Amino acid sequence: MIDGIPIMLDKIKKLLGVKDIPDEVSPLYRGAKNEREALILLKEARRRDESRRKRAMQDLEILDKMEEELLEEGKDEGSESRKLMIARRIKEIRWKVSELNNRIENIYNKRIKVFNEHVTSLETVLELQSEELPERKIMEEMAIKAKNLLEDLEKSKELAEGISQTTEPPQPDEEERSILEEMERRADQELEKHEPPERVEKEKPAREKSDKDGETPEREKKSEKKKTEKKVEEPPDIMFEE
Amino acid sequence: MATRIRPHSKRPTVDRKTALVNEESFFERVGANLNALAGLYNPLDNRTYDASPRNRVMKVIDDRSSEVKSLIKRFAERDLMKTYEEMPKNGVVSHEILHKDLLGPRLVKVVVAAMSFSPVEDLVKKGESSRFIGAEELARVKDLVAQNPSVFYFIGAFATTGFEESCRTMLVGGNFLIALCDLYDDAWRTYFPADGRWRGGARVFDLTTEEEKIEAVRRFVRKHTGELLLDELTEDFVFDELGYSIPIIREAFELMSAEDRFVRFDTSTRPFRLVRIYS
Repeated sequence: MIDGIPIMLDKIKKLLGVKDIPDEVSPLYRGAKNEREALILLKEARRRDESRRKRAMQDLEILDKMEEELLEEGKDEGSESRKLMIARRIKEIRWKVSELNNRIENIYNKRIKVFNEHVTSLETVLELQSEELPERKIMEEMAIKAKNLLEDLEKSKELAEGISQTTEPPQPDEEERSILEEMERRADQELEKHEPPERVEKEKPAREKSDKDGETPEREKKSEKKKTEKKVEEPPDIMFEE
Repeated sequence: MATRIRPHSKRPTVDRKTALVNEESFFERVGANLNALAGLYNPLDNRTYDASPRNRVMKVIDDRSSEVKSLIKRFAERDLMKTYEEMPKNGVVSHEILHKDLLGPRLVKVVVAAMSFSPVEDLVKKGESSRFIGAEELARVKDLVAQNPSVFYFIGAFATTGFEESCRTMLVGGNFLIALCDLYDDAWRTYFPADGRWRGGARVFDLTTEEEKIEAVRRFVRKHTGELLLDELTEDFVFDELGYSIPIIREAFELMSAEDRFVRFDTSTRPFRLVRIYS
């Protein structure tokens, strides 16, 4: 049994991948026969400390309440001697409160933290250990299956690439390209043809405006003629202005 | 050394119905204790007399009931009958232990008297009261009962609201002993003045069973966690508050420490005490 103690501790160290085991948990590991038992002991110790901490916190509440009551009493107290006694009592309560706070902080919280860490680590390790590896034959079969699946996947990938090539739009040859260019040119020409009537339409409202002003088309033509004559006579600067 | 300060005693407020119920319960318990008693010691002639029912005569003195009636007539404005029914009657019941010598008549040798006190005036006027009973009232009623100097009187006085401290000075006399009873936090408690003449007579006014006492100590400890945390919950402290015997208190402490793992019965220093532990 004595020989088993260091073995158990070493085993736990190896399992958890740590160099040292804290003093809080090492006695528990020493008392355990195996990892599962160690886990149970750890959980039990954690539960105990949690209940102790809970009790201490409840006691703190009671002491706080007592202090509050005494402060209220001292506030209304007329006698100086009783006031002093109340003050002493409050001092004692505060010592106790401080003692309890230290206990919670330095003992229970610390220990519970260590227990939590070890419980989690041990649980993970045990869970991983509990997962059994399949047999060699099954593993070989699985490897063959995986290889076949990979090959199938490769084939289907190639096939998919082929399908995607045929679906690409056909590239025109030179002749077709020249035809296409010609078609584009024609389209452009048609567009140009359509443009003048648009200009007429744009000018129309201007004309209508001039009609309204009382000018005849003949006069307009004459004035236009005059303008063109003037244009010829005028230097290029003025043309630029137009 | 811890600073022990006695909290200002909060006077319990009792209403009519509670006072009546408590009064009836008091007489009932005294009667039951008396029935369980085989004999009663008379310090005057240093003899113990047979206290069985055939040697016992019960008398109810209802002088004080008429006082209650007259107070109701004076102060109550309506529902007089209903008020009277609700009210404690401040009754006095005396059990006379008779003895017949070989030659001669049957004579009263010892009297066990139970008397109840309530602040009747307050109860009639306000319906409730927290007024303690004073020494004068106690003395007056005692004189009403203990009139024969050749008879010894064991008197149990119960106050529904409690007695004033001054009452403790007048509990011992030449031919009488008075025990003060009250209810503290639903626990019956009795104050016996220290006197060697009590003997078996004290048992008549010990109104609670052992189980009830242990339960009362438990309740008391639960309500005094502060004292427990400050290591002040000693057997003396409980004795002062509840008046139960030290062995009963120790038994209750032992039981509590066995039941609660955060409590330990510390017998390393006197007085023995309950202390808080966290292991």
